[in-house]
Amino acid sequence: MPAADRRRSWAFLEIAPVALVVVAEAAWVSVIGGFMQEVRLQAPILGIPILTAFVAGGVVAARTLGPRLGPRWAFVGLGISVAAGLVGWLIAPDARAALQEADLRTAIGENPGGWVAGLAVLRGFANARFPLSEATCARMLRLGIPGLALIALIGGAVAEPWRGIFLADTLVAAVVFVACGTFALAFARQQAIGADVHVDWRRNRTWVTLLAVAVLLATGIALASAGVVRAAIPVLLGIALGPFLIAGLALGTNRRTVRIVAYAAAGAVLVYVILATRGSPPQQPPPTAGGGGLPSTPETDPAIILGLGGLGVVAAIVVILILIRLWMGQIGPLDADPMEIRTIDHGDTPVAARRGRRRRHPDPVDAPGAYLALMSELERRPAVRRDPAETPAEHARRLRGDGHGGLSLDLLAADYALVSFGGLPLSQREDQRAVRRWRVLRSRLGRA
Amino acid sequence: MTLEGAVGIILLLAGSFLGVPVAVVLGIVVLVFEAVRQVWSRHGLADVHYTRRLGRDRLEWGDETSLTVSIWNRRRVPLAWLRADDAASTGVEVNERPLVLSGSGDRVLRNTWTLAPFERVVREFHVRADRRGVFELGPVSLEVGDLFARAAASEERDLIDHFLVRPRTVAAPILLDEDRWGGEDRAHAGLSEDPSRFAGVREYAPGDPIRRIHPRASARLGRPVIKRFEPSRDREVLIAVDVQTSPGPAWDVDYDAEAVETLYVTAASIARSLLGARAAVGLTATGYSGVESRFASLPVSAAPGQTERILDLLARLSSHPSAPFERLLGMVARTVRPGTTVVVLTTRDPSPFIAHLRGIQRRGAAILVVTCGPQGPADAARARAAGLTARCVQLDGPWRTAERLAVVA
Repeated sequence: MPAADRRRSWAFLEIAPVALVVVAEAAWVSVIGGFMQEVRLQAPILGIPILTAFVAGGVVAARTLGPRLGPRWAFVGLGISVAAGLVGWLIAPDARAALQEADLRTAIGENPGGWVAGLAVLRGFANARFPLSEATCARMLRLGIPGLALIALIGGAVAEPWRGIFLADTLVAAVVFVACGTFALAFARQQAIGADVHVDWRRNRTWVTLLAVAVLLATGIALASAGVVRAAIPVLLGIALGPFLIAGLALGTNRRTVRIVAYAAAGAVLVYVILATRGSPPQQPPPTAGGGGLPSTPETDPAIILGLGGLGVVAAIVVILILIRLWMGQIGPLDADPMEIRTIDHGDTPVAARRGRRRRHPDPVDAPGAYLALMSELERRPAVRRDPAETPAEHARRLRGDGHGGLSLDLLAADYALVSFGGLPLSQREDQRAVRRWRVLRSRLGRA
Repeated sequence: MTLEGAVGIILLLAGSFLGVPVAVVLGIVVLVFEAVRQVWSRHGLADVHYTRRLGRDRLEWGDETSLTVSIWNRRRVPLAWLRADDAASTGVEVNERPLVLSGSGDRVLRNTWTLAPFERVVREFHVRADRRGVFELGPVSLEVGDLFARAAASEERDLIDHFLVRPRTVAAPILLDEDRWGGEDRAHAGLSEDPSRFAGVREYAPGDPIRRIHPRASARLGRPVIKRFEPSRDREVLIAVDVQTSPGPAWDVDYDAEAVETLYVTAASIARSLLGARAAVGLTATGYSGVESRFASLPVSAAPGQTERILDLLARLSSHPSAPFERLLGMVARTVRPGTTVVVLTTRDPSPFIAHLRGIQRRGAAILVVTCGPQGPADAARARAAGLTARCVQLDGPWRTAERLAVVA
């Protein structure tokens, strides 16, 4: 591969996760903007596409101006952020109109969510480093997911129709955020891990496909089951909480578990108290006179959620498929490592086939068969399997000493030794007893 | 329960009770991702086969050997990434890739792959060492990423390979060029014949000594014939290496690594030149060689492969002394065969162990003191002053680049 193509290929590998993270950043920033608009009882102006442009602008500005300006970049960056916030604010026609009428107070009150364009540019600065910083991306997801949920929880306390609009937008943004953020983080992690050896994710199309399927499946399952889960959990918890608590106390818990449960309960109570004290119950939308004002939106129902979510998922599928096609098809041949030979090797006996045969093993009918079947099952359990240097008797003695085995294993091992090493035949009753011991031991040692 | 799992459950519960579907959706997504991670962490490295193979396990210094690393994902599931850190002992160098420091501070050969289902990747490297010694590769630490490329599982596999790097050898003079009577091998020239080894008769030639005429054979044949004898020379050599390179007690662990390597290159070169001249050579030294004994010892032999055995022993020797050299000489005095020449190779002043050398002489062995330190000529002069045969040899440059060993005094 020529050097220029190789450079282009690696540059592309670095840009791909950045593009995804830019969309993810725009998604969570849009939720904040939407929340600010909702609090002011206004419809959101800046959506994900516009904010994506702002974040991308931040990335470009930081990469082009940052290195040139040196220490002055901090001040220039601040200025760019403020300017972007102004632009975002003035995108709203009402804000511009109020400003033209010199009504500054009204103008400031219009489109407060537009100021998040400055935040979007600022987030662009944070992601301007190529290759994408895994830590930055991971932090975004780690804080973003609970942050979005928290904003949604607080935003859910506002009156309709703003609540419905906000929650619908937030749901779409959350899906986009999770999908793009997860993809970006996966690519960034892989890049970080293989930075010194140039691990190329395009070599592993199966993984990329599986990742896409997993992300889409997870979001799809979540969207499809959200309504059912939402309705079922309170009921199930109400039914099961008491028995579970009693069983938990009876069986005993360690300190860590108790601490986690306590923190979870405290967090849940805190959120509930905040919402109960500050939030107001959803109100009916104000009566609209003559069809003016905002269209009334019914309280968020599963159909709308699923519809919006479905749209988001479909859009994400299309975008991801197009991206994968672009990434894998239009970039030149992969930079093959001269020291490396890659082959697809299923081996002589595929793993699945071996497993299948193992499952189909018939039950043993005699003592040696029972012992060998038990050893075969214990082979997957390091704590109880027989060492190559151990005799059956030593193995049985060791397990008895460890508290795993018992007399049954000793007797089974003795039967095996008599037949295999001593050449002595066993009676039918002894064989049947050995098979019964095998059944007992496989369940007992299988838990070790 | 992990933090992510706890966050997922809290989101799920909060969203369900407060009627916020976004929180429910996020909670489910987080829990699904966490479930995938848990599955991966349990089965991440199952059916992943890692092998490492060295082309040769013995090298001359400066040579390199192939190192083949193979990874095989024997599952239907792809691996986002898999990293293998092969621990490498100090001094190992890989041509194609610099070694990196692992989290525990060890130098490791790091390999990372992204693997499709059933994919096998074989990589070939070339390894060498920056000095003689026994080097180790392994154990290997494997770490695998889950579907979302998070580190999911890791394990250490006890897969260890060793390779040995023999010391460098250079052209060296044959230090024992005197043929002596009473030795065990034939001399190249017939100057020193052993009268106890009758080897037949030949025709008389003018100039032959009258005393060597065989009277009875001459009378029987009717013409003068001369007795012939087997020539002989002394060809049993034991090289005793004084590993200590600095004055002071032997237990002082401070040593000059370059001086030690120079000493071993000198010893290896002398041994090779002697074996090339068909001498029977053995080696003994005050260094650890990986066995329980404090003295490294290889019996005198001229059998095929003796050069390699001596070089192997020199490769295994520690850089610091295991005992005072005088103790080694005491052991040699008890075990050496009469007629053997003991070549004492040292970088120090031989005065402290001259008495022990005289003890060896009293056992019927010859002594040749070979000094090779920076004060080599003066040390050799001290040995000569004590009545011992001594030479001073030096390499014509640093041990890494020297071309020959020369006798300088």
